[in-house]
Amino acid sequence: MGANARATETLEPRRLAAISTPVAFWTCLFAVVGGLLALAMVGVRAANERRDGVATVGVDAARLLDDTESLYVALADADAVASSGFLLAGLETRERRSRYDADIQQAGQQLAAISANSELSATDRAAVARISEQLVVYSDLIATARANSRLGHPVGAAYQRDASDVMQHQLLPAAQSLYAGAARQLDEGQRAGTSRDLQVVLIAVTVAVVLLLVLVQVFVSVRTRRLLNIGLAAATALAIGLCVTTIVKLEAQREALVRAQSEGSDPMLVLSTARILALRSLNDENLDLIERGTETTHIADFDAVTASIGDREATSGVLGTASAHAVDDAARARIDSIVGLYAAYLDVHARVRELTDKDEYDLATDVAVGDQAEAAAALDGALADEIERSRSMFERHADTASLRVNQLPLTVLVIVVVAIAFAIGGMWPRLREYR
Amino acid sequence: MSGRLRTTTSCAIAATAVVAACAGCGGSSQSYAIDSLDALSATTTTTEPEAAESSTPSTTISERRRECEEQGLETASYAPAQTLDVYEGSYMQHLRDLERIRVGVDENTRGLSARKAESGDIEGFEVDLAHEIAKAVFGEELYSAERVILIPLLTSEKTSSVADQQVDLTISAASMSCRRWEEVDFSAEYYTAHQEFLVRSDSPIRTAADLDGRTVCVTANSTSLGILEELVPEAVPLPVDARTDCLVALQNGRADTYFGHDTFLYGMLLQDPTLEIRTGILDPDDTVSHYGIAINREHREFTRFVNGVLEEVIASGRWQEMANQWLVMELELPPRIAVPVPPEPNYGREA
Repeated sequence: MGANARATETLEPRRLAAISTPVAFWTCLFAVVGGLLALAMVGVRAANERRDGVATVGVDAARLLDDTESLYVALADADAVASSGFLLAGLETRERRSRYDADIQQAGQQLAAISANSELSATDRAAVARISEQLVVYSDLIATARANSRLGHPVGAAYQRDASDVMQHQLLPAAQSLYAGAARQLDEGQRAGTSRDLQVVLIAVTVAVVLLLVLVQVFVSVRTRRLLNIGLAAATALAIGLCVTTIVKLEAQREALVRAQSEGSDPMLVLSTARILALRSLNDENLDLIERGTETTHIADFDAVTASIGDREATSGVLGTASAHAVDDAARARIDSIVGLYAAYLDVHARVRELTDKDEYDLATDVAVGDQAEAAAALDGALADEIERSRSMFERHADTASLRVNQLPLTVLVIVVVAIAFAIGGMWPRLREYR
Repeated sequence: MSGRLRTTTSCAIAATAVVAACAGCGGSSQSYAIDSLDALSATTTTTEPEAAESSTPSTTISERRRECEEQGLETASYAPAQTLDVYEGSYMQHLRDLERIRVGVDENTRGLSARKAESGDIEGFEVDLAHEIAKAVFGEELYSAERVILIPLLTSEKTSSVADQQVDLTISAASMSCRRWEEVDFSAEYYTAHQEFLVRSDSPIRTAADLDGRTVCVTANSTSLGILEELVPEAVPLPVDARTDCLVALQNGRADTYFGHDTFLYGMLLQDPTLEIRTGILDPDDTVSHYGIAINREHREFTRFVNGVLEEVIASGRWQEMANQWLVMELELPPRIAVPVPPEPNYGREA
C-alpha cells in the first residue's frame, strides 16, 4: 500500500464520518442512475440529431434543390420555346405548343411541390408567391400574344415581348433565388448531419459518468471492505461500451454522409448551377437575335454567363470545379464528355456570332434555332443525366447513413437501462445490509 | 487501492486527450460546391428595361441646327443625283462590294412595315421602298431580295443606328426635325402623315382640354412626345419602346389614349375594333409629320442618290402603286386621307 492510499484511508472516514452509510449509499445510487440517464440523454440526442440531419434536412433539401432546379429549367425552356418561336415566326407548330404546355404544367407542379416543403424561409416563400402570381401573368400574356398572332396582328409581338420581360425580370430571378436558397439549406443539412459536436459532448459525459462510477466503486469498497462490486463494474463497462458503440455508429454514418455529399449532392449542385447558366446563355442568344444586335447587353450577359460555366478545357468556372472534384475515372470521363458538348455549343455560338457580325441575321437565326438549339439540348440532356446520377448516389449514401443510426437511439436506451439495472443490482445488497 | 486510483486518473487524462483530439477534428464536412452558387449572382443580371429617353433637346445648339430652325430647313434635303450611276469610291459602290444593304425598319406597323406572322417576313410600304433603293444601288443583274437586310429598330434607335453605322439607312416613319438633322441627313420627304389620338370607344376624350391629367402613351424619343409636351403639358406622357406597346397599354388600361401618326393608328384599329381614332383634337398644322429616310452624314452622295431614286419612284407611278397596295388596301384609310399624294420634294439645303 502506498502513501497515497493511506492518505485516502485516513481522509475518508474523517470526511464522510458525519454521514451515515445508508444515506451515503443512497446518494451514490442516485448519482450513478442520474449520470447514466444523462449519458442516455446525450447519446439519444446525438443519434437523433444526426439522423434528422440526414433524413429531414439532407434528403428534403436535396429534393427541394431538385424541385427548384426543375422549376427553373421548366420556366427557362418555356421561354426558349416562346422566344425561338418568335424568331422562327410562322404559326406555332403542334410540337412547340405541346412542349410549351408541358413546361408550364411542369412549372406548376414543381411550384406546388416546393410550397409543400415546410423548411422554406420567409424569402423563399415570398419568391414562391411571386412566381405563382407572375406565372399567371406570363401565361396570360403568351395567350394574348398567340391569339393576336393567329389573327396576323403585329401587337402579338408586343405581348410576346412583355411576356419575355416578365420571364427575364420576375420569374427567372425568383426561381434562381429559390434554387440558391435550397442549395444553402442542403449545405446546412450536410453540416448538421456531419457535425461532431455532440460526439465530443458524449465522450465528455461518458468520462464523467465513468469517473463517478469508479469513485462510487472505491467508496463502496472502502465502506464495505469488499474488493469489487460486480454490479457497478458491469455498469462501468456498459457505459464505456455505449460510448464506443455510439461513436463507431456515428462515424460510420458520418462517412456515408460525407460520401453522399462528395459523390452526390456536391456534383448535383455544381452541375445544376451549370445547367441553369447554360439555359440562361441560350436565352441571351435568342434575345440578341431578336434585337438584331441593336442591344448589346444580351451578348455581354452571354459572355459573362459562359465565363462562369467555364472554358473549353474546363480549367475554370463551374465545369472546372466539377471536373476537378470528379470522384473517379468514370465520373471524370462523363464530365469530360459534358465539357466536350459545352465546347461544341460554344463553337456553334461562335458561328452564330460570325454570321451576325456580317449582318447575316437570317442565316444566324437558322443556325441558332437549328444547330445551336440542338447543341444546347445535347448539353442540357447530358447535364440532366449526370445530375440524376448524382442525385441517386446522394440518396443511396444518405440511405446508408440513416440505416447506420436508425436503431441507435433504441440501442442507447437499452444499454442504459441494463447499466442502471446492474448498478442497482450491485448496490441493493449493500443497502439491505443496513436495513 | 492506489493502483485503482492511478488507473482512474490516467483514464481521465486519456479520455480528456480523446475529447481534445476529437474537438480538433470535430468540424463538419465542407462543401466545395456551395461556392459555385456565386456564379449565379456574379454574372450580370439580364438587361434592365431601358430608361425611356427624354425628348429634351441638348443644351448646346449647333450651327447646323440653328440654321435649320432659322431658315425652316426641317424638310429640306440635298438636290438629287442627276443620274443613278454607281461610281468608284461612292457609298453605293461600297454597298455593292459588300453585296448587301442594311435597312433599319419597324416590325410592328401594319401598312408601313410589319412582320407577317405566317412567314416571318417584314412587309409594307417602307420595305418596298427599301427594295426600290436596293434595285438602284445593285442594278438589275446584282439585285436580289436577300441583299436587303432588314433590321428592326425601336423608335429611339432610328437615327442613332444610322449615326453609329449599324444600318446604312433607316426607313421607319422618321419625322424630319432640326434636332434629328443634327445627328443624320435626311432624304427628301417620302410620305406626309398627321398625328392623332387613339382611344377606347367609350373614352370621353374629345378635345385638348379633356387630356388634362390623362395618361397619353407615346413612343420614347419620338416627335410625338415633343409635340405633346409642348401643346398639352397637362397630359401625363407614358413613353414606351415600340409603337404596339401603346396598343397594349390602351388594351390593358395603363394609358387613356395613344398619340401617334395616323399611319400607325389605322393599322391598330384593324387589330382592335373596340378602339376609335379621334381627329382634330390638335391643330393639323402642329401635328404634321414629314417622313424622311435617315442616312449617315458622311455619305452625302448617297443621300443625293436616294433622292434620285425617290424622284424616279414617284415619276414612274411606283409610289402610287405602293401607297395603294399598302396604305389604301391594307390599312383601309378613310376617305380624308384615302388618296395619298406623293409629297413635293424640297431640295432647299445647300451642300
